[in-house]
Order: sequence, then C-alpha cells, then structure tokens
Amino acid sequence: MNKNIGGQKTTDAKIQKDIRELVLARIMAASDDLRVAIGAIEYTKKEMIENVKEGNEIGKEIMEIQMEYLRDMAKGAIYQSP
Amino acid sequence: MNKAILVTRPDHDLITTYLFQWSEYVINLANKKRIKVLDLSSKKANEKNFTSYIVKNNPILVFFNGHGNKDIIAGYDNEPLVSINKNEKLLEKKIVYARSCDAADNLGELCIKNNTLAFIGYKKKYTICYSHASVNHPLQDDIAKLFITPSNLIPISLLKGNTAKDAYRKSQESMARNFSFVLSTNATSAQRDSAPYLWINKKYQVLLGDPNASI
Repeated sequence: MNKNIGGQKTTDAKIQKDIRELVLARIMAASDDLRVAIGAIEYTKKEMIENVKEGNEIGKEIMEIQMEYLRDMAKGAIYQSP
Repeated sequence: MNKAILVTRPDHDLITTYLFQWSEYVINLANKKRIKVLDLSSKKANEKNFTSYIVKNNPILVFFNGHGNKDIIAGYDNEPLVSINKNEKLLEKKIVYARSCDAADNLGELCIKNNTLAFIGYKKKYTICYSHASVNHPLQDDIAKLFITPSNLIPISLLKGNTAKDAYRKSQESMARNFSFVLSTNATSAQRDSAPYLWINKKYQVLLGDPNASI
C-alpha cells in the first residue's frame, strides 16, 4: 500500500516536472518583445521564466494559463462558437 | 442629454495607462452620440468622487478600468471604488462593465442579487500582452490592441443600442477573430506568443444578469 502511494507521488512529481519543463520551453521560445501583464504586474520573458522555475504563486499561475490553453486546444474548444 | 455613462480610468501604472488611453475611443463615441460622460480619469478615480457622481447623475452604464479582485474594483493607486458588502448597491439598476481582474466572481454575482441590471466582467485575472517597443505609444501597440479592442466593444456596442447579450457576443466574436489571427502566419511571433493569454480572457469573460438589458 505504502509502496503504491509512494509510487503515485513519484509519478505526480514527474508529471509536474514535465509540465514545468514544457511551460519553460514555451516561454523561452517566445519573442523578447512580448510583455505580459497578469493583473497588476507586468512580466518580461526572463521574469516569467524565473517565477516558473521558483514555483511561486505567479509561476503556478503562468503554468496554469499555459496548460489550460494547451488542454483546450487539444479538446478542440477553440472551434466551438462563442 | 438625459442619459449618462460613468467611466473610471486611473493611470497610475503601465496597464492602467494603456486602458486609460484606449478608453478614449469609448468616450469619443459617447460624445458623438450626445450621451453625457462622467469621466473619472486619473486621480479623480477615487471612492469619494465615484459615490458622488453615481448619486448625483445616476448613470445607466458604469465602465470600470482598473485593478480588482473577486471582492473589489479599484481606482487610482488601487483605492477601492466598489467593495463587496459595502457599497455594491450603488450599482443598482445599472449595466456594469468591469475591465478588471476577477470582479465578475463574488462582486459581480452580489451586484446582480442587489438589482444591477447586467454585469459583464472576468472570472479570472484580466490579462494584457503588449509590446515592449510600444510602451510609450499604447494606441499603436499591435499586441495590446488584440486584447483591448474586443473589450472596448462591450461599451461601444452598448452605446450603439445593443443589448448586453449582443455586446457580450460581439466582444467574444472579436476575441475569437483575433485568436484565429494570432495563430495564423500573418501574425508576428510576439502576437503568436500572446495566444494563451487571449484565450484565457475569452474563456473567463462572462455576462451576468439580464441579457436583454440596454442603455
């Protein structure tokens, strides 16, 4: 039982690591001219990368935005009428 | 001139400055239509003025530009203009468009319970992408315009006599068009990289209350 729980934790951690790497790769490939204002704060590409690497609140928010977008694209949500 | 609209547009940081400038299009249209504009610009966007203007003029449309969260919409220097369980009743019998983060969540829902006609806003953070090269010329920013033009369509459509439902639909359709554009080969790389953020704005923009409300 414990072994399974430990195994699940390992899998979740691996998935989170993969997601972080995917998001980082997407941000690193972005244009240097792009700035993103999320709420009251503006971020450069470098700052977004730092936040995602640190795994802080804004880093998690950036990851959520990117992953929600990718999931919706995969589901074909963008082709649904408004 | 018997109808009035109220616009709050602080300019204390870069993003509020962008919204301040882009709101001019809405104000110009209202002026052309001879609709009175109560313009709480810059430092005038404070709670005292806001309350006074609402009480004295009873505007039918309130167009907020500024930061916010689930419980408040803020003005200059992030001073709360409307706060949950404090003064949301000021928005009774009005159409509200809040170009602010999260405000359609708790605050928007409570406004509708307290007889706001319709509330259009966002249930997550309102995000704007912009070009670093254009920060001194917000109206010429080819990335920001993809985000702000569709949102301007809400008050513009309402000023043209559309219902809240149609204003919302036009804004959604405009975001969908811009989204298709940023995925196309005609977009610049920076525009293309803004796609996830444009998508999230579209997904979490909501219309609450009476879809047939109009000004």
